[in-house]
Amino acid sequence: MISKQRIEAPIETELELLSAWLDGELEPAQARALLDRLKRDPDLRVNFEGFNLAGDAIRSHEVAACHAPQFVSRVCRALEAEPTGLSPGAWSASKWRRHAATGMGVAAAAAMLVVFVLPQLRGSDVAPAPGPVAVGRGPDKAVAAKTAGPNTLAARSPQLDAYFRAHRELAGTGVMPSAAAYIRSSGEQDR
Amino acid sequence: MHTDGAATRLAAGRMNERDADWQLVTRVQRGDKKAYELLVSKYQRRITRLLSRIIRDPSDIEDVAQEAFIKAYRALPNFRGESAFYTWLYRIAINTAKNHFAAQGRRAPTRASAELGDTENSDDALVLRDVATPDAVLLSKQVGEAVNRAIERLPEDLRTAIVLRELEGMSYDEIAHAMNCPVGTVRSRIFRAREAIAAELRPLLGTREDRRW
Repeated sequence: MISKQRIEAPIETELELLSAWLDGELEPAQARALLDRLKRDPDLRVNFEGFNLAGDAIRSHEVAACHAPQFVSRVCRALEAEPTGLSPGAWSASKWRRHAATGMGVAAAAAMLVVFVLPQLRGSDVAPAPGPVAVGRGPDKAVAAKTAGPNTLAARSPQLDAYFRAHRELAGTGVMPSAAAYIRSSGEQDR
Repeated sequence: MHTDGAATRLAAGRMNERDADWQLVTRVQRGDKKAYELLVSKYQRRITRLLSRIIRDPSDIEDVAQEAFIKAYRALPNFRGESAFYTWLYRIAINTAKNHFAAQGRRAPTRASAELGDTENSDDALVLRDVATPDAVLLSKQVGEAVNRAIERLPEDLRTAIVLRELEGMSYDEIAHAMNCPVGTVRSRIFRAREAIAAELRPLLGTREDRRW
Protein backbone atom coordinates (compact mmCIF):
# COMPACT_ATOMS: atom_id res chain seq x y z
CA MET A 1 0.00 0.00 0.00
CA ILE A 2 1.27 3.42 -0.88
CA SER A 3 1.16 5.85 1.99
CA LYS A 4 -0.76 9.07 1.50
CA GLN A 5 2.13 11.18 2.80
CA ARG A 6 4.49 9.76 0.18
CA ILE A 7 1.93 10.34 -2.54
CA GLU A 8 1.57 14.01 -1.73
CA ALA A 9 5.31 14.66 -1.47
CA PRO A 10 6.26 17.50 -3.85
CA ILE A 11 9.46 15.80 -4.99
CA GLU A 12 9.76 15.78 -8.74
CA THR A 13 11.33 12.49 -9.61
CA GLU A 14 12.56 11.46 -13.00
CA LEU A 15 9.93 8.72 -13.12
CA GLU A 16 7.22 11.26 -12.42
CA LEU A 17 8.47 13.30 -15.37
CA LEU A 18 8.41 10.15 -17.48
CA SER A 19 4.82 9.47 -16.47
CA ALA A 20 3.82 13.05 -17.31
CA TRP A 21 5.58 12.88 -20.67
CA LEU A 22 3.61 9.73 -21.59
CA ASP A 23 0.48 11.81 -21.13
CA GLY A 24 1.90 14.70 -23.17
CA GLU A 25 1.92 16.88 -20.05
CA LEU A 26 5.52 18.04 -20.05
CA GLU A 27 7.02 21.31 -21.23
CA PRO A 28 8.83 20.83 -24.55
CA ALA A 29 12.25 21.62 -23.07
CA GLN A 30 11.71 19.11 -20.24
CA ALA A 31 10.50 16.55 -22.76
CA ARG A 32 13.64 16.96 -24.84
CA ALA A 33 15.85 16.49 -21.80
CA LEU A 34 13.87 13.42 -20.76
CA LEU A 35 14.19 11.88 -24.22
CA ASP A 36 17.94 12.38 -24.07
CA ARG A 37 18.00 10.53 -20.73
CA LEU A 38 15.77 7.76 -22.09
CA LYS A 39 18.26 7.21 -24.87
CA ARG A 40 21.10 6.73 -22.39
CA ASP A 41 19.40 5.06 -19.44
CA PRO A 42 18.22 1.42 -19.81
CA ASP A 43 16.52 1.51 -16.39
CA LEU A 44 14.40 4.45 -17.46
CA ARG A 45 13.42 2.56 -20.63
CA VAL A 46 12.29 -0.41 -18.54
CA ASN A 47 10.08 1.95 -16.56
CA PHE A 48 8.78 3.42 -19.81
CA GLU A 49 7.73 -0.10 -20.79
CA GLY A 50 6.15 -0.76 -17.40
CA PHE A 51 4.12 2.47 -17.43
CA ASN A 52 2.86 1.82 -20.95
CA LEU A 53 1.97 -1.73 -19.98
CA ALA A 54 0.00 -0.44 -17.00
CA GLY A 55 -1.95 1.89 -19.27
CA ASP A 56 -2.66 -0.90 -21.75
CA ALA A 57 -3.78 -3.20 -18.93
CA ILE A 58 -6.22 -0.63 -17.55
CA ARG A 59 -7.75 -0.06 -20.97
CA SER A 60 -7.76 -3.67 -22.16
CA HIS A 61 -6.74 -6.89 -20.42
CA GLU A 62 -6.51 -8.60 -23.81
CA VAL A 63 -4.06 -6.05 -25.16
CA ALA A 64 -1.85 -6.24 -22.06
CA ALA A 65 -1.90 -10.05 -22.25
CA CYS A 66 -0.24 -9.78 -25.69
CA HIS A 67 2.95 -8.55 -24.02
CA ALA A 68 6.01 -10.46 -25.22
CA PRO A 69 8.99 -9.64 -22.97
CA GLN A 70 11.62 -10.25 -25.66
CA PHE A 71 9.77 -8.62 -28.53
CA VAL A 72 11.56 -5.26 -28.36
CA SER A 73 14.94 -7.00 -28.17
CA ARG A 74 14.07 -9.02 -31.28
CA VAL A 75 13.08 -5.93 -33.23
CA CYS A 76 16.21 -4.13 -32.01
CA ARG A 77 18.41 -6.93 -33.34
CA ALA A 78 16.61 -6.81 -36.68
CA LEU A 79 16.99 -3.03 -36.76
CA GLU A 80 20.75 -3.29 -36.37
CA ALA A 81 20.93 -4.51 -39.97
CA GLU A 82 18.82 -1.60 -41.18
CA PRO A 83 20.48 1.54 -42.50
CA THR A 84 19.74 4.65 -40.50
CA GLY A 85 16.93 6.37 -42.35
CA LEU A 86 16.76 10.10 -42.70
CA SER A 87 13.58 11.94 -43.55
CA PRO A 88 13.31 13.82 -46.84
CA GLY A 89 13.26 16.96 -44.73
CA ALA A 90 16.54 16.09 -43.11
CA TRP A 91 17.95 15.11 -46.51
CA SER A 92 16.77 18.42 -47.95
CA ALA A 93 18.49 20.25 -45.14
CA SER A 94 21.81 18.62 -45.92
CA LYS A 95 21.21 19.20 -49.62
CA TRP A 96 20.46 22.84 -48.83
CA ARG A 97 23.72 23.10 -46.93
CA ARG A 98 25.58 21.66 -49.91
CA HIS A 99 23.87 24.13 -52.22
CA ALA A 100 24.64 26.99 -49.84
CA ALA A 101 28.30 25.98 -49.82
CA THR A 102 28.32 25.89 -53.62
CA GLY A 103 26.58 29.28 -53.76
CA MET A 104 29.13 30.79 -51.41
CA GLY A 105 31.90 29.47 -53.66
CA VAL A 106 30.28 31.09 -56.68
CA ALA A 107 29.81 34.34 -54.76
CA ALA A 108 33.48 34.32 -53.72
CA ALA A 109 34.54 33.76 -57.33
CA ALA A 110 32.29 36.60 -58.46
CA ALA A 111 33.76 38.87 -55.78
CA MET A 112 37.27 38.02 -56.98
CA LEU A 113 36.18 38.87 -60.52
CA VAL A 114 34.78 42.23 -59.46
CA VAL A 115 37.71 43.20 -57.25
CA PHE A 116 40.64 42.08 -59.36
CA VAL A 117 39.63 41.38 -62.96
CA LEU A 118 37.08 44.10 -63.80
CA PRO A 119 39.38 47.01 -62.92
CA GLN A 120 41.95 45.46 -65.23
CA LEU A 121 39.39 45.26 -68.05
CA ARG A 122 38.04 48.78 -67.50
CA GLY A 123 41.34 50.51 -67.22
CA SER A 124 42.46 52.70 -64.37
CA ASP A 125 43.59 56.22 -63.73
CA VAL A 126 45.91 54.92 -61.11
CA ALA A 127 49.43 54.54 -62.39
CA PRO A 128 50.39 50.92 -62.81
CA ALA A 129 53.03 49.33 -60.72
CA PRO A 130 56.51 49.94 -62.01
CA GLY A 131 57.47 47.31 -64.51
CA PRO A 132 59.68 46.78 -67.47
CA VAL A 133 57.55 49.12 -69.58
CA ALA A 134 57.57 52.03 -67.15
CA VAL A 135 61.26 51.83 -66.61
CA GLY A 136 62.18 51.25 -70.18
CA ARG A 137 64.54 53.62 -71.92
CA GLY A 138 65.57 54.63 -75.46
CA PRO A 139 64.65 52.19 -78.20
CA ASP A 140 63.12 49.84 -75.66
CA LYS A 141 60.28 52.35 -75.22
CA ALA A 142 58.86 51.71 -78.67
CA VAL A 143 58.95 47.96 -78.16
CA ALA A 144 57.40 48.37 -74.75
CA ALA A 145 54.60 50.54 -76.15
CA LYS A 146 53.84 47.85 -78.74
CA THR A 147 53.74 45.00 -76.27
CA ALA A 148 52.05 46.85 -73.43
CA GLY A 149 48.26 46.87 -73.06
CA PRO A 150 45.98 49.91 -73.03
CA ASN A 151 46.50 50.38 -69.28
CA THR A 152 50.07 51.35 -69.65
CA LEU A 153 49.46 55.12 -69.51
CA ALA A 154 53.11 55.93 -69.14
CA ALA A 155 53.77 54.46 -72.56
CA ARG A 156 51.02 56.43 -74.30
CA SER A 157 51.11 59.91 -75.75
CA PRO A 158 49.42 62.74 -73.76
CA GLN A 159 46.93 63.31 -76.61
CA LEU A 160 45.85 59.71 -76.52
CA ASP A 161 45.40 59.89 -72.76
CA ALA A 162 43.23 63.01 -73.12
CA TYR A 163 41.14 61.19 -75.71
CA PHE A 164 40.65 58.16 -73.45
CA ARG A 165 39.74 60.41 -70.50
CA ALA A 166 37.16 62.26 -72.56
CA HIS A 167 35.76 58.99 -73.87
CA ARG A 168 35.46 57.58 -70.33
CA GLU A 169 33.57 60.67 -69.17
CA LEU A 170 31.16 60.27 -72.02
CA ALA A 171 30.71 56.50 -71.72
CA GLY A 172 30.69 56.24 -67.93
CA THR A 173 32.28 53.43 -65.97
CA GLY A 174 29.50 50.83 -65.86
CA VAL A 175 29.72 47.30 -67.08
CA MET A 176 28.55 48.46 -70.54
CA PRO A 177 30.35 51.77 -70.97
CA SER A 178 30.16 51.84 -74.75
CA ALA A 179 26.44 51.03 -74.75
CA ALA A 180 25.85 53.88 -72.28
CA ALA A 181 27.36 56.26 -74.77
CA TYR A 182 24.90 55.15 -77.43
CA ILE A 183 21.99 55.44 -75.00
CA ARG A 184 22.93 59.00 -74.15
CA SER A 185 23.38 59.93 -77.80
CA SER A 186 20.03 58.42 -78.65
CA GLY A 187 18.38 60.37 -75.84
CA GLU A 188 19.91 63.56 -77.02
CA GLN A 189 18.64 62.92 -80.54
CA ASP A 190 15.11 62.44 -79.22
CA ARG A 191 15.24 65.85 -77.67
CA MET B 1 -1.34 19.07 -40.90
CA HIS B 2 -0.31 17.64 -37.61
CA THR B 3 3.14 19.14 -37.65
CA ASP B 4 1.67 22.63 -37.80
CA GLY B 5 -0.61 21.83 -34.88
CA ALA B 6 2.28 20.36 -32.95
CA ALA B 7 4.36 23.45 -33.60
CA THR B 8 1.54 25.66 -32.35
CA ARG B 9 1.06 23.60 -29.22
CA LEU B 10 4.80 23.43 -28.60
CA ALA B 11 4.95 27.21 -29.00
CA ALA B 12 2.11 27.45 -26.47
CA GLY B 13 4.31 25.46 -24.11
CA ARG B 14 2.32 22.24 -23.72
CA MET B 15 2.19 19.04 -25.70
CA ASN B 16 -0.40 16.31 -25.91
CA GLU B 17 0.06 12.56 -26.11
CA ARG B 18 0.23 12.63 -29.90
CA ASP B 19 2.97 15.24 -29.76
CA ALA B 20 4.99 12.93 -27.52
CA ASP B 21 4.86 10.29 -30.27
CA TRP B 22 5.73 12.94 -32.83
CA GLN B 23 8.81 13.88 -30.80
CA LEU B 24 9.96 10.26 -30.98
CA VAL B 25 9.19 10.07 -34.70
CA THR B 26 11.24 13.18 -35.51
CA ARG B 27 14.13 11.76 -33.52
CA VAL B 28 13.97 8.52 -35.51
CA GLN B 29 13.87 10.56 -38.72
CA ARG B 30 17.09 12.22 -37.61
CA GLY B 31 18.70 8.80 -37.22
CA ASP B 32 17.99 7.94 -33.56
CA LYS B 33 17.20 4.20 -33.50
CA LYS B 34 16.72 4.20 -29.72
CA ALA B 35 13.73 6.47 -30.17
CA TYR B 36 12.19 3.85 -32.46
CA GLU B 37 12.70 1.19 -29.78
CA LEU B 38 10.49 3.29 -27.53
CA LEU B 39 7.76 3.36 -30.16
CA VAL B 40 8.05 -0.44 -30.55
CA SER B 41 7.85 -0.87 -26.79
CA LYS B 42 4.80 1.36 -26.58
CA TYR B 43 2.81 -0.19 -29.42
CA GLN B 44 3.93 -3.82 -29.57
CA ARG B 45 0.95 -5.11 -27.57
CA ARG B 46 -1.68 -3.22 -29.56
CA ILE B 47 -0.19 -4.39 -32.87
CA THR B 48 0.15 -7.97 -31.63
CA ARG B 49 -3.44 -7.91 -30.40
CA LEU B 50 -4.60 -6.54 -33.77
CA LEU B 51 -2.72 -9.25 -35.67
CA SER B 52 -3.96 -11.98 -33.34
CA ARG B 53 -7.45 -11.11 -34.52
CA ILE B 54 -6.47 -11.58 -38.17
CA ILE B 55 -3.91 -14.40 -38.13
CA ARG B 56 -4.94 -17.71 -36.60
CA ASP B 57 -1.54 -19.29 -36.13
CA PRO B 58 -0.01 -17.90 -32.90
CA SER B 59 3.49 -18.76 -34.10
CA ASP B 60 3.07 -16.41 -37.08
CA ILE B 61 1.68 -13.46 -35.14
CA GLU B 62 4.94 -12.30 -33.55
CA ASP B 63 6.84 -12.71 -36.85
CA VAL B 64 4.30 -10.60 -38.73
CA ALA B 65 4.30 -8.02 -35.93
CA GLN B 66 8.08 -7.78 -36.13
CA GLU B 67 7.92 -7.47 -39.91
CA ALA B 68 5.34 -4.69 -39.58
CA PHE B 69 7.60 -2.73 -37.22
CA ILE B 70 10.58 -3.14 -39.55
CA LYS B 71 8.50 -1.99 -42.53
CA ALA B 72 7.30 0.99 -40.52
CA TYR B 73 10.91 1.87 -39.66
CA ARG B 74 11.83 1.81 -43.33
CA ALA B 75 8.84 3.95 -44.25
CA LEU B 76 9.22 6.37 -41.34
CA PRO B 77 11.38 8.89 -43.24
CA ASN B 78 8.30 9.61 -45.37
CA PHE B 79 5.85 9.86 -42.44
CA ARG B 80 4.82 13.50 -42.20
CA GLY B 81 2.45 13.25 -39.25
CA GLU B 82 -0.82 13.83 -41.10
CA SER B 83 -2.31 11.09 -38.92
CA ALA B 84 -1.43 9.79 -35.47
CA PHE B 85 1.57 7.48 -35.48
CA TYR B 86 -0.51 4.53 -34.31
CA THR B 87 -3.08 5.00 -37.10
CA TRP B 88 -0.25 4.93 -39.63
CA LEU B 89 1.37 1.92 -37.96
CA TYR B 90 -1.98 0.13 -37.82
CA ARG B 91 -2.32 0.37 -41.62
CA ILE B 92 1.18 -1.00 -42.15
CA ALA B 93 0.37 -3.93 -39.85
CA ILE B 94 -2.85 -4.67 -41.77
CA ASN B 95 -0.98 -4.62 -45.10
CA THR B 96 1.76 -6.82 -43.68
CA ALA B 97 -0.88 -9.33 -42.59
CA LYS B 98 -2.40 -9.28 -46.08
CA ASN B 99 1.05 -9.88 -47.59
CA HIS B 100 1.53 -12.73 -45.13
CA PHE B 101 -1.60 -14.43 -46.42
CA ALA B 102 -0.62 -13.75 -50.05
CA ALA B 103 2.82 -15.29 -49.48
CA GLN B 104 1.12 -18.42 -48.21
CA GLY B 105 -1.13 -18.52 -51.23
CA ARG B 106 -4.13 -17.74 -49.10
CA ARG B 107 -6.57 -14.90 -49.05
CA ALA B 108 -6.89 -12.75 -45.97
CA PRO B 109 -10.22 -13.26 -44.23
CA THR B 110 -12.46 -10.43 -45.42
CA ARG B 111 -15.73 -9.15 -44.11
CA ALA B 112 -17.71 -10.53 -47.03
CA SER B 113 -16.72 -14.06 -46.10
CA ALA B 114 -17.21 -13.84 -42.37
CA GLU B 115 -19.91 -13.43 -39.82
CA LEU B 116 -18.05 -10.97 -37.62
CA GLY B 117 -17.16 -7.51 -38.90
CA ASP B 118 -15.61 -5.58 -36.06
CA THR B 119 -12.78 -3.52 -37.55
CA GLU B 120 -11.09 -0.34 -36.47
CA ASN B 121 -10.86 0.85 -40.06
CA SER B 122 -13.79 -0.14 -42.21
CA ASP B 123 -12.00 0.32 -45.54
CA ASP B 124 -9.54 -2.41 -44.72
CA ALA B 125 -12.41 -4.91 -45.00
CA LEU B 126 -10.44 -7.40 -42.96
CA VAL B 127 -12.26 -9.40 -40.35
CA LEU B 128 -10.88 -9.03 -36.86
CA ARG B 129 -11.90 -12.17 -35.01
CA ASP B 130 -11.92 -12.76 -31.33
CA VAL B 131 -10.65 -16.30 -31.50
CA ALA B 132 -8.07 -16.61 -28.76
CA THR B 133 -6.10 -19.63 -27.67
CA PRO B 134 -6.84 -21.05 -24.20
CA ASP B 135 -3.45 -19.76 -23.05
CA ALA B 136 -4.25 -16.24 -24.24
CA VAL B 137 -7.65 -16.35 -22.54
CA LEU B 138 -6.06 -17.49 -19.29
CA LEU B 139 -3.35 -14.82 -19.41
CA SER B 140 -5.90 -12.15 -20.20
CA LYS B 141 -7.94 -13.23 -17.20
CA GLN B 142 -4.88 -13.13 -14.97
CA VAL B 143 -3.96 -9.66 -16.22
CA GLY B 144 -7.50 -8.49 -15.50
CA GLU B 145 -7.35 -9.86 -11.98
CA ALA B 146 -3.93 -8.31 -11.34
CA VAL B 147 -5.00 -4.88 -12.60
CA ASN B 148 -8.22 -4.95 -10.62
CA ARG B 149 -6.32 -6.01 -7.52
CA ALA B 150 -3.81 -3.18 -7.98
CA ILE B 151 -6.51 -0.59 -8.58
CA GLU B 152 -8.52 -1.72 -5.56
CA ARG B 153 -5.46 -1.31 -3.37
CA LEU B 154 -4.90 2.25 -4.49
CA PRO B 155 -6.07 5.11 -2.30
CA GLU B 156 -9.26 6.68 -3.63
CA ASP B 157 -7.58 9.84 -5.01
CA LEU B 158 -4.99 7.82 -6.98
CA ARG B 159 -7.66 5.48 -8.32
CA THR B 160 -9.80 8.37 -9.50
CA ALA B 161 -6.87 10.17 -11.13
CA ILE B 162 -5.62 7.14 -13.07
CA VAL B 163 -9.11 6.14 -14.22
CA LEU B 164 -9.90 9.68 -15.42
CA ARG B 165 -6.63 9.75 -17.30
CA GLU B 166 -6.45 6.24 -18.82
CA LEU B 167 -10.12 5.45 -19.35
CA GLU B 168 -11.66 8.89 -19.82
CA GLY B 169 -8.63 10.41 -21.58
CA MET B 170 -8.85 13.64 -19.58
CA SER B 171 -5.95 16.09 -19.48
CA TYR B 172 -4.21 16.94 -16.21
CA ASP B 173 -5.93 20.32 -16.17
CA GLU B 174 -9.33 18.70 -16.52
CA ILE B 175 -8.57 16.15 -13.82
CA ALA B 176 -7.30 18.88 -11.51
CA HIS B 177 -10.55 20.77 -12.05
CA ALA B 178 -12.64 17.65 -11.48
CA MET B 179 -10.74 16.65 -8.34
CA ASN B 180 -10.32 20.20 -7.09
CA CYS B 181 -6.58 19.93 -6.60
CA PRO B 182 -3.41 21.39 -8.20
CA VAL B 183 -2.12 19.98 -11.50
CA GLY B 184 1.11 18.95 -9.79
CA THR B 185 -0.87 16.77 -7.40
CA VAL B 186 -2.65 15.13 -10.34
CA ARG B 187 0.69 14.41 -11.97
CA SER B 188 2.02 12.84 -8.79
CA ARG B 189 -1.11 10.75 -8.22
CA ILE B 190 -1.09 9.37 -11.75
CA PHE B 191 2.58 8.51 -11.50
CA ARG B 192 2.09 6.65 -8.18
CA ALA B 193 -0.87 4.76 -9.56
CA ARG B 194 1.08 3.70 -12.64
CA GLU B 195 3.99 2.57 -10.52
CA ALA B 196 1.73 0.41 -8.35
CA ILE B 197 -0.06 -1.19 -11.32
CA ALA B 198 3.20 -1.84 -13.20
CA ALA B 199 4.62 -3.51 -10.10
CA GLU B 200 1.60 -5.80 -9.88
CA LEU B 201 1.95 -6.82 -13.54
CA ARG B 202 5.69 -7.34 -13.47
CA PRO B 203 5.78 -10.97 -12.24
CA LEU B 204 2.89 -11.91 -14.48
CA LEU B 205 4.15 -10.54 -17.77
CA GLY B 206 7.86 -11.05 -17.37
CA THR B 207 8.80 -7.40 -17.07
CA ARG B 208 11.53 -6.90 -14.53
CA GLU B 209 13.08 -3.72 -13.29
CA ASP B 210 16.58 -5.01 -14.01
CA ARG B 211 15.84 -6.35 -17.47
CA ARG B 212 17.63 -4.66 -20.37
CA TRP B 213 16.42 -4.39 -23.92
